[in-house]
Amino acid sequence: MFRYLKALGLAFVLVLASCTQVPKNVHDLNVELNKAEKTLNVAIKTNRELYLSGVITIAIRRKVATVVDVANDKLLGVVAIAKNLTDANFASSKGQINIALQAAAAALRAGTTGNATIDALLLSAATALDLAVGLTASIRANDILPTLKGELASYFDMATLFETRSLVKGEV
Amino acid sequence: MPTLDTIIKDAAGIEGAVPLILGLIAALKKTGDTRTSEEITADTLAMGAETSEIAKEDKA
Repeated sequence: MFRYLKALGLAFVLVLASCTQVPKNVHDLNVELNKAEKTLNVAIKTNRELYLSGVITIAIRRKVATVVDVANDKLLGVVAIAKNLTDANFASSKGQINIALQAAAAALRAGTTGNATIDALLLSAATALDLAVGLTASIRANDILPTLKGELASYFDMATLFETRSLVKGEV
Repeated sequence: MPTLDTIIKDAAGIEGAVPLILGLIAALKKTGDTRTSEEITADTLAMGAETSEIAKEDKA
């Protein structure tokens, strides 16, 4: 009976650890960055369609393409930084992320054209970037850091872990 | 900021614009997204590369 309880405990901790490898606020940041990128992607495609249909001028098409390119570059930079966040680079990376997100949002807001469709898309992307700034602020180093080993070591000593693992293997 | 109706009306009749916007709205409203954070990051980077390519062409 005790064996089963230990195995159950290990399974619970392993499931818990795998679920918390990417904390919710970090995942939410990924989701928000993805929404901003999706919106930029639709904005650049719509910009082209509107120009080809004669709704906007070449000057507007270029203006929109320029601000989307600026925001897109910054956003891709943010995704790359977020992907490589570690304990050592956490503080400086978080600062870089915030600066880049705010610059991207500002570029999009400065790029409005008077065309309702384009402006709505640019402002929607800017809003998603604002939300991402808020989420970034809520992320603490501890959200990035928890290593599986550290988590497990706080619940079980390693000898018990190995024993339990072999017991689990014997049962399946 | 324009309402959704205005946006759709404004884009109506423009080939490709309405489906794009409706697709975006559907994507943003999507619930129960089962992608992992890693998959979301990969999708974001792929979309960003496409956006960059189109933007660079259209700036010229």
